[in-house]
Amino acid sequence: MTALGYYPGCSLSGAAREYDLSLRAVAARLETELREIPDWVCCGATSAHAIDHNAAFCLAADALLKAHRAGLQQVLAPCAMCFSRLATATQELRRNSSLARQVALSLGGEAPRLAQVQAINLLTWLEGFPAGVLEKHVVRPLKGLKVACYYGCLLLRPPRVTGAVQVEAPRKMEAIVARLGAQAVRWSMATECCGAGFSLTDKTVVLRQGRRIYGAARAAGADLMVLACPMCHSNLDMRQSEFAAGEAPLPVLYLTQLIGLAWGLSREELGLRGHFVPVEPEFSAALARG
Amino acid sequence: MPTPKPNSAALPLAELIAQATGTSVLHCYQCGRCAAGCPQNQPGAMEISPTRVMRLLQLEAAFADDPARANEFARRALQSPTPWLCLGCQACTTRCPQGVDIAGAMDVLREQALQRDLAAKDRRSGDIRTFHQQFLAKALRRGRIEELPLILRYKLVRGHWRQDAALGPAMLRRGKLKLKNSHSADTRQVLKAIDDSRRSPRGGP
Repeated sequence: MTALGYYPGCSLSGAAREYDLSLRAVAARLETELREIPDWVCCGATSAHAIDHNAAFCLAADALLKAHRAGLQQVLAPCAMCFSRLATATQELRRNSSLARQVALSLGGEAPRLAQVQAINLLTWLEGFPAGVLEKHVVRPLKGLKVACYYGCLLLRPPRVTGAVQVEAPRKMEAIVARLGAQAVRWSMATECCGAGFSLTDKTVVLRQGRRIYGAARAAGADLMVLACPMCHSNLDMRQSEFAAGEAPLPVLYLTQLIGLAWGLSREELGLRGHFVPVEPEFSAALARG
Repeated sequence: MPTPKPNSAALPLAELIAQATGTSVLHCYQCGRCAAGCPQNQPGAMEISPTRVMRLLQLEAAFADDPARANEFARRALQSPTPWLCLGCQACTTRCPQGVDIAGAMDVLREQALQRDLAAKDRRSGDIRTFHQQFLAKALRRGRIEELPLILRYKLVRGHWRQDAALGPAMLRRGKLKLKNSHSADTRQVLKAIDDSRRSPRGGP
């Protein structure tokens, strides 16, 4: 068993429950023990940094400090937003801004060590497994399945924070999907924003962006879409009946759910019941076509 | 909630942005790449593009010896709905050939607009602003966000009761919403750090 720090974030115990479920199921088979940061506090998401720089930094720094105190040097933050906030705080600590110095001081004596805690996202964690590890669990190869890999914003941008090398035409998720036997389609909207938190405040933006993303995935011949962000999932799954009313459904899966399907994990373990666009019968039908 | 910090209103916005992001809007040469890739820079959304906001900030700095004119440029940037319409997607920051953290500049503009009571007054900007404020207040009070109370409080204050009324039950059925607050975390350490940062003369912006 390898131990890895785990910052689930608020969404994964609420609207993105299935992401948490499927991630835990996949981690267990990869012999990774997810150690939740004790008493972790919300990262503040978009709203904190949108209106209050100090509060945003302090919220993320608090998570880094708690991880450090628990002896966790590497923290998996599956939510793209949480990952971005924690990684941004690490950057600010390394840049040694006056705010970072002052807050690290006020949070406790371990200040310089805070910057050593590294937040990683789902893709970084998965690509760390050597060839053969993801593959050996596959019992239902996804041969012929055409997948649109959707990154959205914060897994990649800005590269100064995420460490991403290929920002405009990323291939990390495509590589993982290929290891399951599926075929990643080439398409144009992989890194376009889904409209993010505007789902509540200005829905027209989310419907416009969702429509464009859905249309591009369909035009590229995708059977389904995979992603690694609760906000993107909510916008593209829950709102699909609005922006693509009466059109062919495009199931939207967390990457961990697609891995689980290839590994033969149960629908319950993967939380497939929680989707608005049903995964079945689309998924089995697409496999049969392939 | 942002509370006024000493002297921040006296500094040009470009300076506050440099402190917050470590990058300078003065380096912008107006190529328009930020505007070209911005998902919100289109009819019905942004009226002032991110590129033009950068120009306003440069003009404020350029007229340092003419406070009245400098103020006017700052005011136009601060009162614009543009920062509120920004999705924070980071495309502009990523693509800027001059390394300007444009999305980070939008953060500073929102915060300063609130502190100086200049935030855009239109309905849409107000909705977005209220949501951010409620979200942050809840994160700091309870340490965790749960969707349902957050959504209900927002709708109560902004009066959007009918929008998505059918989604609530559908989300409940799928286990995506919980009726009761069941999670919280201790935020005392965070609150103290924020408080210290406000009182420290070095803790800006």
